[in-house]
Amino acid sequence: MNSTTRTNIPSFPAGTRLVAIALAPLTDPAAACLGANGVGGRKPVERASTAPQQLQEFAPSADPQITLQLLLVPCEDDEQPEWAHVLRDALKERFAAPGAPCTVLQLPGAVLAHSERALAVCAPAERLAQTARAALEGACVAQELHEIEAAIEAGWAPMEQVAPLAFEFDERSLERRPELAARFVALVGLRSRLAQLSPRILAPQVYPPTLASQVGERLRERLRLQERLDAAGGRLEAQERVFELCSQRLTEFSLARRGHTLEWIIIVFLAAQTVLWLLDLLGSASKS
Amino acid sequence: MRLKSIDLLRCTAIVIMVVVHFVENLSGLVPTFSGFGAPLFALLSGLSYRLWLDAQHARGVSDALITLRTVRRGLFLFAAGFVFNVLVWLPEDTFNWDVLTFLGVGYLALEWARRMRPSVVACACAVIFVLSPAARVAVDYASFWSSGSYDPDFTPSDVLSGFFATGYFPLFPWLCYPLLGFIVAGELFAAQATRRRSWAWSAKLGAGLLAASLGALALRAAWPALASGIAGRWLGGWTNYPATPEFVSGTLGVALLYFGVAQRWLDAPGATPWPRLEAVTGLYSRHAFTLYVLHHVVHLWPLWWLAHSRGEELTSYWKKALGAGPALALGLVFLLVCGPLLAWMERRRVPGIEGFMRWVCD
Repeated sequence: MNSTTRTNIPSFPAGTRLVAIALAPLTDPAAACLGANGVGGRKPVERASTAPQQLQEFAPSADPQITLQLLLVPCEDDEQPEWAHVLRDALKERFAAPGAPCTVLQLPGAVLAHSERALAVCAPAERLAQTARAALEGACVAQELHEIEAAIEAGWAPMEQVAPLAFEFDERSLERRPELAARFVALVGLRSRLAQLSPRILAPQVYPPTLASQVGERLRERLRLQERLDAAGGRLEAQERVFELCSQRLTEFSLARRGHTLEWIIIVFLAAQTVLWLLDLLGSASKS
Repeated sequence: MRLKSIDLLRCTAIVIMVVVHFVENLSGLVPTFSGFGAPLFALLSGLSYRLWLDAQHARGVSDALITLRTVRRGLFLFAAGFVFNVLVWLPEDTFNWDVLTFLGVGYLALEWARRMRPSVVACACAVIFVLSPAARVAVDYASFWSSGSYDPDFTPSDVLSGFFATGYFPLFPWLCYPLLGFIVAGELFAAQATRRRSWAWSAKLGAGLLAASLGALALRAAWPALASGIAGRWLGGWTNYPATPEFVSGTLGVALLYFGVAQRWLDAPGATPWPRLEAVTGLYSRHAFTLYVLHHVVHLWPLWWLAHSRGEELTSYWKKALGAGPALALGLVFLLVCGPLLAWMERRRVPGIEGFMRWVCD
């Protein structure tokens, strides 16, 4: 059943905005969208803003640079439960990947619906900007964590391929040195991103609580950011350990190889000297 | 992996060898290009070994099996060299250290080289190259040769001297060829595409070696006094026997330059400038070992048989049987006849000596 036909809300109220958000480097001079803080060296910036009339307009963008569609709906407290259903259905239907969670938060005075690539905020007009800023910050943190998790997940197969090198390294394995180095650098990058993210996730609760702080805290709870951060750290550590061992074997092998080269060059000279001595002996034997 | 450039080089080597041997052994005339066949063959053994090795690795053949196959091939060639010497050159030339026995030992050296870093192999090449003149002095090279032929006594010391320094193809300096070929192929056909060098590198290396050789020859010509004394031991002029530093450097240079140019024109993706020529060079290249043995049998056995039937010394007609022109014509006729013969062998799946070697060794 179509979500719009199930509700009594035919269209968005006046003042509704749909903001297309992209993540830009922190050094980008563009203004930060709604004043939300950056994360992982990137900050959310507004790429486009429209005033949608119908729910159908709240749809994923074709532009791959747009990472989040933010819908801001000004509405009074009594309309919010209805909007919660509508937005959850819209997000599930259009934005969330199959099986991916779609989170709806109902707070006193605000409703939030969040999925991987969309965020919808319903609040009275006077508190909408403040609520949206807190929600956007939480969504960005969740998105960054999601990206890190995906990168860690993609690292298992390469790790299993190089795992034998942690035990034994030979001449042919040297050809994989660039691959090992690249993967190691990627892991260091992930660890760095995770380290930068943790203060944002583990931040203590604000007292006295405000609507904005509650939005952030509830979003962190509902998205299980702290547990996911711990799990990501553990998985990253497992991969780091394997690459650390590989790097150790590589260093040992390279050092031994240099030593062997020198030894072999000396052996070549000694062998040449022996052959010359032998030939000298043979020459004497032939003449005698 | 079969490369058209390598086929062309091997075909060139066998054509030079056939022509030179027919002319030299039947008429006694030594053609000016006579020294290029064996160096090409020796260099190609290193180049081809590298490609063969990469193919074995790609198929997942174990290191132990590669060693086993390499050593078997080396020993096969070494033994085949002795059988060839006895049957073709007669028993008194058993230990003349011809090209087959050398290539056999070359294979064993390549088995060592494949385990070493290129810098170690290059160092071994340099040591062999530099010490070869000294080795010849140590055993008094000239005393083993008379009238342009290797003529040792059948004593252990002479046999060993021939193996190392005084035979037709002694280890000093001939081991430089397969070892350098192996190093060059390692640079050109490295498994990692980013590390690979282009054909131009091979051509430049060849041009450099050739220039060094020509420079040394010019130096010797400009200052004849250099030919005597210590410098004269290293600047021996252009001679095949012994293979002087100028000869080694020059033939390596020509071979690498030729290889580089051949790679440029024949091995580029989609390059088939002369399909018929490629078919012919491929055919002769695949059967080079068979051709090498066969052409000796075809032109030497009749000489021995004729002398024997007339009650003369077996080698009485060697280098005296024909004039240079008819000998050259016979060599070319042999090459022309071999084309259809080899094609027929391939069609009927009749194995040549190469096939027999693979059957025994692999």
